[in-house]
Amino acid sequence: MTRKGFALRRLVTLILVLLAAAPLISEHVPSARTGELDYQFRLNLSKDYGKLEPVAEVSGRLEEGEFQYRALLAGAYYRLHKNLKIGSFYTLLAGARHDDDWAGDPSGWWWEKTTDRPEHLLSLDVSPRFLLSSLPGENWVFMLKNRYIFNTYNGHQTLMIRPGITYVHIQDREPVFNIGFQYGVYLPLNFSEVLIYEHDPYLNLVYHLNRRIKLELFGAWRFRTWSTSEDVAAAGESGYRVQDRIFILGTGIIIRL
Amino acid sequence: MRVKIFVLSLVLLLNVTITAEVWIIAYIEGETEILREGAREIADFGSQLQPGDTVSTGAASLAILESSRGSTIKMKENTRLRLDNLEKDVEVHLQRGGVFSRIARLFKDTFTVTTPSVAAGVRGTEFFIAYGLVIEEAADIWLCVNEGSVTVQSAQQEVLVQAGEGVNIINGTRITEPRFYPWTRELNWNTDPEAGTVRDTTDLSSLYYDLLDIDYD
Repeated sequence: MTRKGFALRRLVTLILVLLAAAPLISEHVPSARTGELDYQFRLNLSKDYGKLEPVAEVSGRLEEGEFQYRALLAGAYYRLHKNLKIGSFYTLLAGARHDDDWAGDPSGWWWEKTTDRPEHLLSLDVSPRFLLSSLPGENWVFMLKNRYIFNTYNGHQTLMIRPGITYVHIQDREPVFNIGFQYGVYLPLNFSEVLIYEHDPYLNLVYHLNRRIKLELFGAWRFRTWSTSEDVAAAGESGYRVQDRIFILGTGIIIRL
Repeated sequence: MRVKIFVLSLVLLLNVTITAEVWIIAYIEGETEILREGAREIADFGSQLQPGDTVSTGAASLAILESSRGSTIKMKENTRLRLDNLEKDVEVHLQRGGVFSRIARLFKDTFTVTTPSVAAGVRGTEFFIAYGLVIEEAADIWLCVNEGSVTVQSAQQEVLVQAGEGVNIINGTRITEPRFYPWTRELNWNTDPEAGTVRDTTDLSSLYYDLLDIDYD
């Protein structure tokens, strides 16, 4: 056998071994969702009491063709300073998925159904913001949203850091629309094997029907890393890290009462 | 008898029309000053006003000016108003602050509030005019009408503002399309202290969109 023929045989063998091993590897590793489109909607209500702004929001998301994620948020922002707002929120949600929802045993693995599982989140928000009036068009705002999230269901603590820039188009002293680009980064403080378990560049367009009612269209490219679940570790299987890459298209109605 | 009443009414009417209009300070809260021929004096209830006077209210103050024909001007705090003409065609010049004007129905005469760039002319109406913020070179001027209508004139435009509508004179020159502004519902149009508070606490700076107040989630 020639040297070239031997190398070809080795390559074919390697491919066959990998193909044969693939089902074994993937049995305990969740498959990544890539390139799929989820749809999200929200209705956001707030009331301006000067420095205090109570907020309520209902939102939902269609994932893999099913209406899975639903959330109800209530809380308030308080303007500590012209350039600084703080906020405190409670969220009741269902349909969230966590690393440990990848469950099973060596005979089979699956995602737990969480559609009807309630979870309670407590959040604290600190968001400094600054005008960037030296940019063309002048009406630019930079905001750094920092949100600490505690999930009472599993004790998970998350820190979301989301820098963003927004341009507001104003005509005759009235806002017409604003367009913003944000980049959300989610840091797991006491769970996950990764430093950043989710990050999402996020673009939104808000059209101001009037001072009270705004319509929103947004799109996000969400990168979510799943790491070894408790069940997989308990089964003695090898660890994994799998990343979902999903496009989220959303619409919203924002009402300031 | 009817003829007698008619003649008497006509005489009274002519008398009212012919008699020069007298303006006084009818009500004060806080500090109000009158600048007359270069001399400053503290205004008091009943102080009679003359053409050329400039009336100023201080912080947390207000003054109500009343004419013998039943017209009223309520000055907000930190307002300065120059009384250019108090005779047949009343003309006052708003130098700063804001005023509520309730003008008794006039026959041929006019009532005009001017600013450096616009004039708001009326014949029997109730309206509010005030300086807003300086966003460009000059201050905006807000005007809204509670009763009747007001003709607003700038160098290039003339706009008729009807009851329930308001305009913003952007940069003191460009008049926006008249429309309803929700904040005008909060204005205190009352000029009768016996009927309740006459103080208006509307903060016009809050009418401007605050870019740093964006929180949509």
